[in-house]
Amino acid sequence: MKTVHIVILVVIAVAIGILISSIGDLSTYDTISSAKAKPGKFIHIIARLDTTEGKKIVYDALKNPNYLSFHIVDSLGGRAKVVYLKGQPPTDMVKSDRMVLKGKMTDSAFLCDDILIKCPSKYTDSKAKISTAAK
Amino acid sequence: MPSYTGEHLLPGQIGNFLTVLSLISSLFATIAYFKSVKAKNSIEQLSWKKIARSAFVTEIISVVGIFITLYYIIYNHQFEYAYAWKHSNLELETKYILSCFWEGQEGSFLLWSFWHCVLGGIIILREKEWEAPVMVTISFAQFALATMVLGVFFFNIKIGSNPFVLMRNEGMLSPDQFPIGFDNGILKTDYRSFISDGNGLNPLLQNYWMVIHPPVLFLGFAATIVPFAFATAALWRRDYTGWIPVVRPWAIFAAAVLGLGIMMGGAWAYESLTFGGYWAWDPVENASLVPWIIGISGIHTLIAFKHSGQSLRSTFLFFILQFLLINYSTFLTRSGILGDTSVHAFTDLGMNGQLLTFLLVFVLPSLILFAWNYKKIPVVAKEEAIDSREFWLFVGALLLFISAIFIIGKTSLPVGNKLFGTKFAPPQEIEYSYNKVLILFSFIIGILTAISQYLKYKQTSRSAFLKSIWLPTVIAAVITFSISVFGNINFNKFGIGFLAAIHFSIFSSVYAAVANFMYIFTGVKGKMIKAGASLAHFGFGLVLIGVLISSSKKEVISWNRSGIMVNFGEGSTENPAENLTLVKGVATDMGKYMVTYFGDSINPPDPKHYFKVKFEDKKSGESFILFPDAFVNFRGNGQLMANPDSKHYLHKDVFTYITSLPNPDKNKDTASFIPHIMKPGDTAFYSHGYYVLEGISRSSARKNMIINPTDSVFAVNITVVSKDSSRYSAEPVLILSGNQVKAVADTVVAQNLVFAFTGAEKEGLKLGVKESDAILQYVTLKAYVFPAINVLWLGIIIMTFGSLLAMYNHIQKNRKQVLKKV
Repeated sequence: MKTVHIVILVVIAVAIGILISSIGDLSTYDTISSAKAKPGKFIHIIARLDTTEGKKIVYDALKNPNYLSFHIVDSLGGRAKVVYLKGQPPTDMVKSDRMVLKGKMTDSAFLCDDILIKCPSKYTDSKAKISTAAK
Repeated sequence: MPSYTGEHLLPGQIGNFLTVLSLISSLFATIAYFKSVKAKNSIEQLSWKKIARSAFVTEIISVVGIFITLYYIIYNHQFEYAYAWKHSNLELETKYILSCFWEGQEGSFLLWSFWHCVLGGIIILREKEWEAPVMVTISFAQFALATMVLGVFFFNIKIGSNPFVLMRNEGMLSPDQFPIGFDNGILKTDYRSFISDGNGLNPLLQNYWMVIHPPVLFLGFAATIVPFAFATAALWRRDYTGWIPVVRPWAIFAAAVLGLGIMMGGAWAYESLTFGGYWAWDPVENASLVPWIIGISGIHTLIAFKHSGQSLRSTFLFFILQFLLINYSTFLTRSGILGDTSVHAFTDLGMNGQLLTFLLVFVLPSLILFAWNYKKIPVVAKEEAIDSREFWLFVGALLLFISAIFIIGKTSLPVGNKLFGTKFAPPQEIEYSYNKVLILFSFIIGILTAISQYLKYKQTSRSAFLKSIWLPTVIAAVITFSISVFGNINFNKFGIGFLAAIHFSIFSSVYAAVANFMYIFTGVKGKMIKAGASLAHFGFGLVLIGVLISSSKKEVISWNRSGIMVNFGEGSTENPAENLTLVKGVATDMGKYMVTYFGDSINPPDPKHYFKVKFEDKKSGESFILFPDAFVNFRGNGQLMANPDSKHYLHKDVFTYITSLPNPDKNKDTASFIPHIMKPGDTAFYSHGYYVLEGISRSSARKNMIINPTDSVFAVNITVVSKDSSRYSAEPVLILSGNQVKAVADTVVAQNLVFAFTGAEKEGLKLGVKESDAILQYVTLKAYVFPAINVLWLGIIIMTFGSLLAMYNHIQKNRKQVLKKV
């Protein structure tokens, strides 16, 4: 057996080890109700903004520029309050049809680390209003 | 079919004609080049080659023609075309018209196709004997790309997305959205006159980086096909070694441009977007990094083969995989499969089947060809010595390859979910999950980068090696030691082990930089033409140093320490609070600096607002002004789209961007004065502290008051003490002039307080007190210090320059070889 082969085997063994160990870090996608079953665990939730019954996006940079709260509803009808402690509502949050929220469920709210906004179209809005102002 | 007035149908017809022409001519070129390779005698070969060339020239003309046509449509604001309407508008500055091109998928496919044309043209002109077999692959790729912009339905399957479609044919005009253009549910013949403007380019993309980054990146993408085409051509012709010297400059070119393009994207993200950094291990970024890494592996095994005959099989494999991974990344970023994990993937155009076919049509033949020929690719029976350069080149290439597999494996998580129906998501600390593994690779690769040039092929004499390597080693150790001791690198978020790994990797990258820099003088004796490789490796070392230091020492200076505001959110203790609100005119403490927001400006036609933020060093008193800007309420969408600004020093950047502004709806002053009766010495509370009525006087110290000599002045002195024990004074004034009573209120801006003195009664003085957000002008921002970021940019420039120099050197060498043969 050549030295090179030994090196290749060792490197591949190490690589497999790394891959297996990194599987342990993985998180999961959950629904709001399954997230409530495992409070404190880091998970991903796919949901959309819930504005029914007068629910509002709360953000006031003067009171606390790092506090944002809003409500979400997922496709199974689960509802939750979300608290995000990293700042302002992300661009296009109101327009979004889907959000991927990362964080942990707590008793009072979903404590969110990161919000990823999914718009009907990423860069362009095909349903955008057609500008008809007089020329 | 009714005809509509105001439409310009001719450009679209030309565009569609050219699209079809490009499809046919690229297919024709593929077949003709194929025939030329298969031809039995040289006359037949040549005649097929001539046909193929004219077909490829037709292809070049069509692609350039498509480009010009689309440019014409966008430039002339022909909004009846969906592409022009979606991606541009009347306001758009001319310099950004090119950005509209590559904002959409169609345009970026065209860009890719355009670069293939350029590269194909060069190959036709230069690579005589390899022209036909290499061009088969490139012409075929052109055919595949041409189908991407075809836009026809074939048995109900959409093939391609055409940039020349009309809005009215795309269902984009409906009576609901566009009532003015309809008459009883039928589109008016003069509908076009009602569409006055396009939807426009995303403001975040109106940036010079968006003009230059995509062309460079796509040139890198396109260039990877050349080593791939050479490798498959070599397998096909069973000429396993002849392609090596010819492909070398091409492979270096592809790696240099792709690397530059990727990092231009990083620079764009850093300079102009609010990602707060240049790299985030986003799937889209990873997908272009991985082919680069594999290309680097391929170049190094190629060099090992050139000098020792070893590693030929892996060279084939790496160059094939590099291009396949480019295709795979195209699939990942354009199919929408990354939707839940990436911030900047393209939108799903409903072409996933086609994209998958595009991938497989290259994967299957090339890998089968490789497997078929595997045993026939020559190997050297003799084992390489452990102290030979080729051995370590191979080990380095292998490590790079494994790290690439690791990155693409993690990135492909959504693909795995789709295949196996699982629901795994990326880990909590995404960046750390990459960094903790790759830092180990970077340590070893840095060391290998440092020593490999000092090793000799076949066998290295130990004494000669030690004699030349000791000095760089000592210098690197001294530099690292001083960085470790004085550099204050104590990134302990992930524990002491990771911090140690950072220090070790800083050593190995300093070692790589120093050793390669010195090799320019000791190894190649200062001959710059030969120093390309050393320069590129020196640049690579600098890149690693810049990455390590800027990421481990990135410092948030806008930490929200204000005692009043925090701690009423759930779990706020464990979360960083990086946003800080600056009230206009009030200096706020931020790390080393006192920071004041003192004004804004706009300069039409530039639609952006510029905010003036002054940073003053607390110790040295040195100050500078930053102008972070933003699109405020862009076309009424009520949103803030911010661009950062930074102060560049040689050793660090101070970087800030606006994250929030006052909401104009909330800004109406709805609060009213609440009456209070107070005597001198009385104290009252407000929401953020208390205030004391100190006394009353008959004159006012306030400036800018119009007081006639005959007027009587009563001024109330108030001291406001906020919860953070800052003290402010206020002096509302009452002026009696004749029968007129005028109350002049006073405002404590920092505390949102307005005081008015309205009169006196038996019980005391009548004060009106109002707390209102509306009086406040403020910005909320984040600010960072990035140390050593310039080392990173410098490293990239040197690396690219060194690579291009090496490429030039190898082209010259090949030319001399050819001359010798003649």
